[in-house]
Amino acid sequence: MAGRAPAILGKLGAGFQALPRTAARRWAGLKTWFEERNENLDLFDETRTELARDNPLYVAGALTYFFWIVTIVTGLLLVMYYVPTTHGAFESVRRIQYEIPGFWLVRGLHKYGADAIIIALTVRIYRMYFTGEYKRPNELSWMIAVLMLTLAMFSGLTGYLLIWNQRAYWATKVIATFPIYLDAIPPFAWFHWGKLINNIMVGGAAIGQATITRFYMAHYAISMIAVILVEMHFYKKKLRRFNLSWTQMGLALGILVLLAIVLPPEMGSPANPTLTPHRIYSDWYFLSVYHLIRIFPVVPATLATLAIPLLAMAMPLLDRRPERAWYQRPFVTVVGIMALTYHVAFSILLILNIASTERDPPIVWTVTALFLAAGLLWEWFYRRSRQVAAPVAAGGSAGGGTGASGRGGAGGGGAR
Amino acid sequence: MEQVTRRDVLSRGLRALGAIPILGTAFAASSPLVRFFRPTVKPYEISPPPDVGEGGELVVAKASELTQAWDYRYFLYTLRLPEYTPRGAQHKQVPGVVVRLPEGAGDDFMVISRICPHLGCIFNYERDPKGVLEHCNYPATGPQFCCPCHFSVYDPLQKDAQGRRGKVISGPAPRAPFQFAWRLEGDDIVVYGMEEGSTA
Repeated sequence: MAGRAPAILGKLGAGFQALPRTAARRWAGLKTWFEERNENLDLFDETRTELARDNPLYVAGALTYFFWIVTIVTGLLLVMYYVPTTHGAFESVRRIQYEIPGFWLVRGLHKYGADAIIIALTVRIYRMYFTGEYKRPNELSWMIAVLMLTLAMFSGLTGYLLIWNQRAYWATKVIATFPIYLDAIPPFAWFHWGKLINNIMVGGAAIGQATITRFYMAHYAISMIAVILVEMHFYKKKLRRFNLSWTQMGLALGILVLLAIVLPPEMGSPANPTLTPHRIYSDWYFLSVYHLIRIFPVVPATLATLAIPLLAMAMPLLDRRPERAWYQRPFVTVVGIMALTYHVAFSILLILNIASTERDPPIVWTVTALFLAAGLLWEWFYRRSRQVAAPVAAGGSAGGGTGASGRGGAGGGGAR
Repeated sequence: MEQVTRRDVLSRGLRALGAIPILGTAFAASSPLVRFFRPTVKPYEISPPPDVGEGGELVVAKASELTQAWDYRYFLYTLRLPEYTPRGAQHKQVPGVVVRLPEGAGDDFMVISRICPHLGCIFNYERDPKGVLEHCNYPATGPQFCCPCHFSVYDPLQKDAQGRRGKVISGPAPRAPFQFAWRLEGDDIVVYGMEEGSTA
């Protein structure tokens, strides 16, 4: 036994010596991966302008950028008159809307521009999903697209607190309380990190002046940091920024102006921390998540809200086969249809005020089970038909378990 | 398959110890980083206790005013809560309710915070069961508390496993409402503290 110890130590030493080399190799691999994705990086469909001529869905990226710039410009104008304090915020927004000449239009463009960003991003993400655009070499573009939507929604959240009306106050309270439930799972549970996130978000133990200040900062920072990074991308690759014709831009802006005139953004009533209104709504793009948190117990609901964007981002890693057409990857397609169905159905249920926490959960479980079963069956039949039709040709990509198809995916992508 | 010897396992395990300095550095860096965002964290603290409020004493109602069963009174209890501004704290009014319970309920009164333990909305006391049905989609048989945000319903007559009054009987709330510490001083119902953990 005594003679063995030096042998182990010797091997250990060799292992430690090899560590820098192993690390360097892994790092180089990661760098190559990133470089290839960076070469193919596409933030606002600026490399797909050819496709936009025939298919309106490919204008979604260019529209996102256009609406984003509109929102930034109008936002910078709003800063002139907005007062970020608990006592002054609501009154200053009221003055912006009704007293300062022309600013009703600025606020309208800011609000509807932001809504339009969310619509355009959502359309773009579903398009990328169903056409398999997230596959190699566009993994990074897809992940950034999902991140963009998340940031846009967070930007919307931080933005509407600034009005300091009832809806803003209570929606913020709900969102800020969420992280506390992370304390039900480790490692959050060991260090109270959930409560810590809550304290940091709110800027204290309760929503107040610090919350407005912090949300105001975040509302700025999200767009300002992002616009610098996007500008670096455009500048370095010498890409055209606005990939829309003047007519298209005029039309898009015209719609926003029309909305601002016909449906001026609402004010609601000033925030009252001691009274929750009977019907409270979040912004429309949070409605489906809002229903989710009503029908699920709170800890699973919290984890689900976190898991949805993370799973979406991980899509290129989960579905690595080279096939891109929707009918060639049935399970993925069915999951996409299910997501879209719930996204729309939950929102409609809440808008029409016919959602029920008693009636809905069993229906949701049944429908989910049916969807997943249909997806698996279709996938199985599809793979079997491929194997029967061309057992040799389909061997690498369509047959076998996930490991085989994963490798097939990487190889197929390279050969394409 | 390659044979894995005990030596391999041991040496890999020992090599994994290399993670300790990395994790140690991460933890050492985390405290100042957290303090940057949350100034109430003390130096070298990596698991700071949550910021909580302090409150004084408040007479919330007179027992003689609540004579009938199910009589109630809303009140606002002021807490001094830490806030990361130059002022350092804010005074926040926590809505509460005191309810006279019927005979045989075990207690004469219940005094609870109206902050919903689910996600922090203010719930209401619905003395008329029809209100529970209308606002929370729950067919109640007696007076109950009902939260308009996510439809949680609490029953004043039942206690949860920890002995808190207001057991959840419907909706997503994970626990009964936060309880006030109170005592009866002659005719006065005096609140002198609050259960910790709610987001005011």
